[in-house]
Amino acid sequence: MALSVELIRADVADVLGEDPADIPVDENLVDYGLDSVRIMSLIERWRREHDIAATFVDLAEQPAIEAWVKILGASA
Amino acid sequence: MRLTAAQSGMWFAQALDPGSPAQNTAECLEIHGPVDPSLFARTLRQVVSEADALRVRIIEGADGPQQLEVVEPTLPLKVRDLRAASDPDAEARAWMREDLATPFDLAAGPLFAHALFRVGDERWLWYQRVHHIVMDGFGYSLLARRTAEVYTALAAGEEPGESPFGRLADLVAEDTAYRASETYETDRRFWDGAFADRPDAPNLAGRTALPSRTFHRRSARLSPEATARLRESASSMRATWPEVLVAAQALYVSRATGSAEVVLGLPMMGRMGSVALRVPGMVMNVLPLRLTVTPQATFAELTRQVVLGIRAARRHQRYRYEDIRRDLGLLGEGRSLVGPLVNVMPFDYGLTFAGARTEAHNLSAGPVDDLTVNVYDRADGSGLRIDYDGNPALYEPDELGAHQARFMELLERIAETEPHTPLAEHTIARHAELTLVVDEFNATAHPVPPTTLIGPIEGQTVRTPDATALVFGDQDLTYAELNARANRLAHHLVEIGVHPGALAAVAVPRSLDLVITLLAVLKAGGAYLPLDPDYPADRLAYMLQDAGPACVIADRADRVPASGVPLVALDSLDTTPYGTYDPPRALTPHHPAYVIYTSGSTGRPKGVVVPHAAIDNRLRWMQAEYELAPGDRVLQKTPSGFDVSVWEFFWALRVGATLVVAEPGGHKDPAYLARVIREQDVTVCHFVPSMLQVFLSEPAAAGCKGLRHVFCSGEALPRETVREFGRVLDGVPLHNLYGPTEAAVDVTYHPCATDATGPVPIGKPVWNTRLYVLDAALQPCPPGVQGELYLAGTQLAAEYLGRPELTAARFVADPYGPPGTRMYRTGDLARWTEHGEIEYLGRTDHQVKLRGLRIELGEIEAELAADAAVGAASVLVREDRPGDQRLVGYVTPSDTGSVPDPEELRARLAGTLPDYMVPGAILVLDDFPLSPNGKLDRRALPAPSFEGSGDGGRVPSGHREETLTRLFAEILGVPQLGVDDAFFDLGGTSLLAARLVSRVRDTLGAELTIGTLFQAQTPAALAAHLDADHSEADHALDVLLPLRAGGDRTPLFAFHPAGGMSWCYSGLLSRLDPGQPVYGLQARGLHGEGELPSTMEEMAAEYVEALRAVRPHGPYRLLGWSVGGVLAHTVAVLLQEAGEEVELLALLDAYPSDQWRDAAVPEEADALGALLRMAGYDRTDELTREDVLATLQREGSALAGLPDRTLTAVLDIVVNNARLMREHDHRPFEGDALFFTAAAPRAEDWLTREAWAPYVSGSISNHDVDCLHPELTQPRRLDEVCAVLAARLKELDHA
Amino acid sequence: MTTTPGPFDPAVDDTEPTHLVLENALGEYSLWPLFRRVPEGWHTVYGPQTYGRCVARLQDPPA
Repeated sequence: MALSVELIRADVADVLGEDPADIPVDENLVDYGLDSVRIMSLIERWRREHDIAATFVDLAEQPAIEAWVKILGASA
Repeated sequence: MRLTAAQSGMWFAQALDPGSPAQNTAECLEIHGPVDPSLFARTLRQVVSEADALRVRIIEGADGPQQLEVVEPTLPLKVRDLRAASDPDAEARAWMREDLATPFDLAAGPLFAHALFRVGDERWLWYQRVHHIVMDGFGYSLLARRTAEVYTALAAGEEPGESPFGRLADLVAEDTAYRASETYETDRRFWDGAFADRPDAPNLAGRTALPSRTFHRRSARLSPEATARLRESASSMRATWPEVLVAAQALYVSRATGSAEVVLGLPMMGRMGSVALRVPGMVMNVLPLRLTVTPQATFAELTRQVVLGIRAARRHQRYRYEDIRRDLGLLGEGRSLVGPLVNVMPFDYGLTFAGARTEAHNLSAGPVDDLTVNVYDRADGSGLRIDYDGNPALYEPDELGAHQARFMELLERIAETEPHTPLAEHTIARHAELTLVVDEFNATAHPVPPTTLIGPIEGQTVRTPDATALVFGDQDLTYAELNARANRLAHHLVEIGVHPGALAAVAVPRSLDLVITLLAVLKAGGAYLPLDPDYPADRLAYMLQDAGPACVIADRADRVPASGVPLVALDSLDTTPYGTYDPPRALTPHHPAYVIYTSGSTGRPKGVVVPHAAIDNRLRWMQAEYELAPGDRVLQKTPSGFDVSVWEFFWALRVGATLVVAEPGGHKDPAYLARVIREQDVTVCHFVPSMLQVFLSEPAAAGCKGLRHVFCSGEALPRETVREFGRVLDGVPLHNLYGPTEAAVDVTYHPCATDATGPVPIGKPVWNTRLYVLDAALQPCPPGVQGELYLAGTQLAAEYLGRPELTAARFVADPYGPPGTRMYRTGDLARWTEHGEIEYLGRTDHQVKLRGLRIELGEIEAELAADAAVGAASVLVREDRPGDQRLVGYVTPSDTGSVPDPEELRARLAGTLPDYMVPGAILVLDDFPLSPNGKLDRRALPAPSFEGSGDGGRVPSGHREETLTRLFAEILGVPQLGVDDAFFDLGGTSLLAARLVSRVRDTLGAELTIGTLFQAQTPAALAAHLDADHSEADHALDVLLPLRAGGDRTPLFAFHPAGGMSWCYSGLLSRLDPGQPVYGLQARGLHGEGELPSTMEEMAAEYVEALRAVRPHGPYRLLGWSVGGVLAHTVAVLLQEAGEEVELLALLDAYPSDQWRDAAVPEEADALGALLRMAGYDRTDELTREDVLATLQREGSALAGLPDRTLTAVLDIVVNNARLMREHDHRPFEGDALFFTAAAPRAEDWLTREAWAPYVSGSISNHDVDCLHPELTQPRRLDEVCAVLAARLKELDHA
Repeated sequence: MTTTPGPFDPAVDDTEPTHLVLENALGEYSLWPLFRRVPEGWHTVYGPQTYGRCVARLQDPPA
């Protein structure tokens, strides 16, 4: 199954304990509480379910959904 | 290159202690597989070349520290094969420990070190040490990953990929840009706002300290199952497991410190969205996180608080922790911004070195200010590793381990508990600790028969009717007589309505009648309500109205104000018509026995109703514990309004002992108490600790050794008082008891060890009593953790009379006792010791004890505030002078415009409050000082001004100088004294010195010897000496005693009389020129060691050596009294034979050995007499050593304070000197002698100064002093002697 | 001195229910904080209510 921007957003909202509608795709997710442990849990989930190759550093470097879409090769 | 802000923080930390290795961080990677050391070395060289930060050294430039790149770094890689060692791992670890303790040289570099150990055929340890200024935890993980990558590639013969690392320069640039940006300002404002109120950051040690050079580490693992459950629980709360850990730590800290507000420090890697993600370096910052932990919140809510708190803080996480501290001004104060740190390191270390798997072990995470909880998740299925790193200055290893073990159990419980239960369900105590504090320490169940307070007294009367029950002055009553009189009155009371459940107020001064009356009330079945007749009429009227007793019994009709309550006036009551048999009554143990009023916090006192069962339990326990026997005599001295008096009144009468009643008011006079205790052979008595202190400084107290038990209660008992007790009343058992009025007098007891240290515990629970130390959630605190003390069991009072809401709020349901039972909330802070005793730590509220009297400051404040002129009021107990506690009130004016008048207010209060509750001073302030969080800042309330003491130059600075100045004046009997006035100059004698020493010890708690006083004779010098806490040897017994070492004249050397001590010459100081130095020569052997000299010549030679040490050459001035004169002459001869000049030889009634040869050698009795005379007492009746010592101690002589071996030595010296003198042959002295004759007629009438003629070549000028020989150094005689001596000295000065 | 209210003190503003009134078999009453389970041998006779209301109830219990 492919990773879509909506799926990314939903998973991010899930680990943040927020509603996906409240997470803009272009904002710095650190401001919404994204931290290294949450990123790693997302990576673990996406590795398991979508076999992604990105590393922690890749995602942590640009912590915004629209950046991740590119890094993860997800469909928009 | 400049340093980043993160690095600067580390720089300053290192600068505090440049030689400290604490900034070393280190890690050890265990590699399970083959390793090629040369390949490994190549790998490390490459990685080091890729990681800029490793290749710097730090120097201090003109503009501050700078980092310079070291272009060709040496690669310090040690490789050791330890397979041959008996324990290769241990040896490797030992090497690592030693290396870890080696500081880096920041200026020289390199700032890293590596080592590779082979500990098995296919097991290697790779050790890395790096200075924290260049690397943090995340950086380590980058380095480790790259090292594994490079090694694996090289091992496979491939080229490792391009370096993934960014440049240190980029890191520095990013940091510089931040510090110049607007974000920096926004961040700074955020933090300064978040901590504007400067909250306390409680920590587990209760105090702060500078970081040490090492740390204690305790390691533990959370099981994989619990770790998994923790992760799931976190997930269900939309949190991460580190956040759950932080919440758990906050809960622990909150309960362990009794503070709802906690501040934790969270080290953050701080690299999100930054170039730092790819640069190994030092970036990490500590985020302070404020949390509020309440019992009613759920764990899920607390975790959410953590999540949201961190989220908010993260937005401003680039602002440095060190800068926040600086902004808030905390750096200088030694105050901390945060409590424990929770450092979570979830960095993935699933690395392989050419296929070999690894395990990473942290060895040091950097310096530890207080406590850092380091958590590692290596994601390898082995569960979380949780290290507690503690500052050794704050935590012992065991303490650290205890906190950690509790935290681990707490985590397990949290992982298993539904997160939406209130936090109150959680305890921080381990399961074993709960069993200990709730059950084991409280195993006090003991069957007691269902008797009352009065029943056993009536029973005892039947057994010993003729024994003495009561003594008052010169009156006494037998048990039968007492019983009869009490019964008669009881029958009358029954007639007028006293019966079980009814109250009878008692306002009778201490006397036989008081005891009779109390017994009569109890015999009628009623409960007695003691009224202190000294209370203001208003207060008495209130109590009578509130309690509604059936009657008031007073000694005379005008003792109490008219109140509508029927009055029984004993002086006009004739009870003879009544029968002497015990009145029948339907009294049960549940009926009240007495009602005692205590101070109320909201303005009115309240009556505590204590049932018979409660007090009966207390007295039965007391009898079992201390075993009072018929020969014992208990002193009744405590006013009946204080519940201590209850056991004083009734204990003795239940067991056939005697009750000795002190006279009214006598309980405040220590001399009276000592006298009555001795004269009446009292064996048991009670003191409130402050009163015990006063009693112990009464000289006659030492004669009270006939006491069998002394009990203390009512206040905290200071350790120094216990020690003083051991000194004064050695051998008498002292007991510390504790209990509020609400729990039948006392509920705990502790036998005091006079040589112990630390706070004096209040002890273990008595029979059928349980003690709980509970935290804010009413959970039991483990031993060592502070909480509020609750009491349960048989001794609880029934209620507060007529105050159901107060009763229900203080006597609450007991969750730990049998179903339906209650516990009493004391408001005292306490903790359990390991051994099952309680230590008292203070109050949670505004109740205080002043000389044992319980006072609710709120009651006084309410009275003050009730005045129309007063806006707000606050009352404190101040102790501005040590030992001098006073109540001080502060008021602000009300809006009415009239200014409150302190004297008027005091007068008003005196009309409604007991005198001990009227503040000694009332200050009117414009406003109350407030602390930053808007609350009254009690510490800023001003001290009332004192009456000034002494002029004469400088005003005393500091309380010690002031106190000492006051004490000097008191002892010397002068109205005023200056801080630089010398004790002996003003007429101090050894006797007065002894008194001063005693007073200083009592007032300042400072150990002082007379010797110290010789060395530091002014209040200023003595204060400085005490401040510096010298604990040097006591020079007062040395051969050379500098009585006054300063001064520009030729020193005068004075030689000891028969006893060997020269203290008697201290009187010279005030009578000679202040610039005249005076030294005493004393016998060798006063310290009690070594042999005594065998000839006078030997003695004299020793003294010559001693005095030439301070004055190598003449001219010499010598003086001696008695044997001292003979010694002075002998020394003079020796000095002359050595070619020195002796310009003065003064002999005070001293006669050459010729005159003594035929006289009898003194016996010990004479020596003892001499000793007493030396002490200033002229007695002839004490003939044994014990008698003499007893006399000295009783009279408070300084000599009594000397060790026994010195006193023994003195006696030996006296006898020895007498012998030596008879055996001595004098040689002539070339010069004149100044002689003083004790001219009063004496038994030894053959003594004549003419006998010196053969041995003094010049003239002997004489002065008669009309006194006996021993009196020559007493003050009046010394006046005469010194008048002549001073004149002679002056002549010599001008010669 | 603690600034946070203890288990038997009113909350800072005392507008929310925080306490109970308990009674045992002997007819004795006890104030009790909501956050702890009611101990054995006691039952609730009033509340959850504010501290002030609980105190008033204790002062004037219904006949």
